[in-house]
Amino acid sequence: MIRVLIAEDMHMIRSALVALLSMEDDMEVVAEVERGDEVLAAALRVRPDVAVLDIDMPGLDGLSAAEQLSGRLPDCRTLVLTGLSQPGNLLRALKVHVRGFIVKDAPAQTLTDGIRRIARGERVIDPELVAAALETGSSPLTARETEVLRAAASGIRTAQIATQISLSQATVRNYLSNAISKVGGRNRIDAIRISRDAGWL
Amino acid sequence: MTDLWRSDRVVRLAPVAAVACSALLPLVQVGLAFSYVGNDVGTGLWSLAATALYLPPHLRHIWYVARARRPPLAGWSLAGMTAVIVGATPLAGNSWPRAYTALGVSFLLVLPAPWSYLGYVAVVAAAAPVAHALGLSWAAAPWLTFSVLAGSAALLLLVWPAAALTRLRTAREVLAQRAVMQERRRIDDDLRHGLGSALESIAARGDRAASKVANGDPAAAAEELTGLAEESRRTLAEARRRVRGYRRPSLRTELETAADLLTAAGVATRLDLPRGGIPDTLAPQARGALRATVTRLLRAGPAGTCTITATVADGQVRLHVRAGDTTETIEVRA
Repeated sequence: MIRVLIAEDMHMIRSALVALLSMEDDMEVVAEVERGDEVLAAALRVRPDVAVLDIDMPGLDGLSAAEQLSGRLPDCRTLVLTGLSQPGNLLRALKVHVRGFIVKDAPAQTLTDGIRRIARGERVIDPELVAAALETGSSPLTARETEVLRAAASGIRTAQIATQISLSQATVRNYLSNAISKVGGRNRIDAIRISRDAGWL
Repeated sequence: MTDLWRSDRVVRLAPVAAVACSALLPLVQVGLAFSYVGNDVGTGLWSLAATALYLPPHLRHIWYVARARRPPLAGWSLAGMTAVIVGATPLAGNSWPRAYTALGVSFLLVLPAPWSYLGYVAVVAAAAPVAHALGLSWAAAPWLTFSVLAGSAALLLLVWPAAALTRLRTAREVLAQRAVMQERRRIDDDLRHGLGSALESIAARGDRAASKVANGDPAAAAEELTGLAEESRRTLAEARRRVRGYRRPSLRTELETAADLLTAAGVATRLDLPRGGIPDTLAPQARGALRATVTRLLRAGPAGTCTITATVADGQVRLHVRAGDTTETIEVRA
């Protein structure tokens, strides 16, 4: 029996996923959570074999939750449900040891088969996602530029970003300016939009 | 994008700079009319009054031409300007022929060739004899000619590049608009002939399913709906394929991203590219083969190493993807 944790913020979709997996003889949904920051606690409590995570969740995004799981519960394999609109997420997902990356509009069979294969230790990656990731290219931003742009994306001012990541305001402006130039944005907001769409943030 | 913004700013500021410099030279001339050897307050005042009259139409010529536009009623304003400068010549002192600089420049900007060149040459040639007739020594008069030549050259070097920049920007915008139109037409054709017919087929299947439900045949309706779902997925995949076709990253970008993805997946990947560079584009079949290989390696899991080598021999580029003991070769046809 494959013990599955489901993390999805939209109640109707979460219920549908639970109902779908409950129909499978070899699967048991042992926990369901609606926020990304609840994933680790729930996983430590129920010790699932596979965690199915939505990529966009309140509190903590699916990839950050996967990173936490990989660090604290390495035996738990993660499968992330994503859209094709943010292909850059694949690179980040692979870095945090996500074993499966499936598009949300794939047939239900793909999800159940994916969970079984991941539980067997295989890796499940949609070829469409690989193609999209190769088209988008790797992020042109350095780790620091990504960090600064991500902080800017949360809506805080330059002074607050500087305090948050222990840099001077001039350095933060410099990183932001580099990031805007590298992603080809017209301004900070545009750079955040482009980076988000590509999945680089 | 920042470079584009900078170039746009240069295009906007260049005419302003041309006008500012064109205004500066006559003001220096007015100062000389008050203070130069042989001049007095009277000549200075005549010079000031004449400059106040001819400078606005002259600056108007500069402003329009620097923005690659022909000034309206330019013939009349040039005639008025000529009358003022020539008329003030006997009254505004022996350094007044320096004002011929503005006249020569306006001739070149406003009149069509060859009249513009003839007018310019005539003005430059007249400067020294006129200045001598007004009391300037023969030793100093040639310097005045040089001053007119150098001054007009400096102004023209500001005006003509500004106009060229504006024309370039306009041409770039026209080309961009044409490219957008062509691309829209291509996408329109693609959608109409490819996806359009697939969507029509889906709609027809939906209608058939609805009529089967209405006729009390749920089994046939279910079969029709299953077919409809499959066709919808095929259409979605086709739509994605087409969208991917519109975005064509360079081969180098695709190889670097492949190496990044494989390394992130735990497959230590090295990329060896020839020093002479590789083609920018990749044929669809080669692209598909590369993507299939990358997907296979990503699925294979975090083990081993991979080397992606690009070689060029007899003008033919080949990609060798070596993972473990197996090597896959992909022919690249640009």
